[in-house]
Amino acid sequence: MPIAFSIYRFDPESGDPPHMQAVELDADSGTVMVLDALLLLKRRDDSLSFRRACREGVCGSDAMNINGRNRLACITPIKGLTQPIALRPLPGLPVIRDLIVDQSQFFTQYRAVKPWLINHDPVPEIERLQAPADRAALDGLYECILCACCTTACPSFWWNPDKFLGPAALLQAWRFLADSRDQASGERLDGLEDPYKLFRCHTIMNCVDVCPKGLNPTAAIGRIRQLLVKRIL
Amino acid sequence: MSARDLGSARAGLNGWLAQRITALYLAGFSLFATLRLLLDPITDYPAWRAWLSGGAMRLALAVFLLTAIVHGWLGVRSVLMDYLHPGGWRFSASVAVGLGLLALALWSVQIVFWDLRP
Repeated sequence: MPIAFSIYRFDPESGDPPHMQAVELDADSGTVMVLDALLLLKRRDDSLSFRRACREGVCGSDAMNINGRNRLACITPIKGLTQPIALRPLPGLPVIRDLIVDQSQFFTQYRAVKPWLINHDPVPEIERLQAPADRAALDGLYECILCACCTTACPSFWWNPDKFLGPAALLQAWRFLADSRDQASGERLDGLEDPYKLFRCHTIMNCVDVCPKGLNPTAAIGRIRQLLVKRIL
Repeated sequence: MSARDLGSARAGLNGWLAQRITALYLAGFSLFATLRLLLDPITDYPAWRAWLSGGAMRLALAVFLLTAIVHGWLGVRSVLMDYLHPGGWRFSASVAVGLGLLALALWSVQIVFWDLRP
């Protein structure tokens, strides 16, 4: 039995509205993951466009909406997916072509949380040391690959993509608040205390549900709120 | 200039915290009132008045009405911020909701301080 796909196609130069294209692959084509199938289909039709790089769930390039759920095509096995397998671009971001979305809004929000270490001490000769327990506090935070699965699954981001930072950026905001080497906690919290940037999160937890790395942005947002409350109580 | 370029509003925490604190009181009062009415049903107006006009009960009712109005304002405002995007519409809707809740607040004052006076 062939493997059936229904793929979102959009070519901005054609002037045609987007449509779903039905395509099939032979069952014995040797494909295991959704990305394998996309690469085979691209060999057949060169105009099919999507992003991919590492093909092993590390780079986060091939995030897309597979059967209604944001996932990485490279680590999603075809076996177990209901057919026809619907492949759509990530929701909530403008589509450039086929499965490729414009991620500017996502990365602008990421940059807004200053995702780098701020430390005013003189730079040490080798490295800034950290106790094992302090380093352990970053587990579950630093692993984010910025694939945008979580942020584009978040209704609060859909409604206010220009104002709400989104789960991925907020997870990184907490990652630097939690870092024992960072000295800008006060400024970071000042920057987050905003009715939109942080408090549009309504604990819907779509982010936790879809994260391909099993991370928990909702918990990180909760920790940021705890710190803000600690400041005033 | 987008909203993002304007930086943080340095606000939002108080509203979020107030929503949670009022929710606790609303839940507690609702549970207490429901149990009270289930265990000992009130059937006529004089009995209602007698129940609500007792000193502690009158105070608890006043706090309930106030917290319900504050909680309602925070909740509706949150919905407007989520779904109503044109700035003029959001402002107008906020004012309309605010005025409506203010009317309810004044009515509550009348109930607690006038209608329920001993």
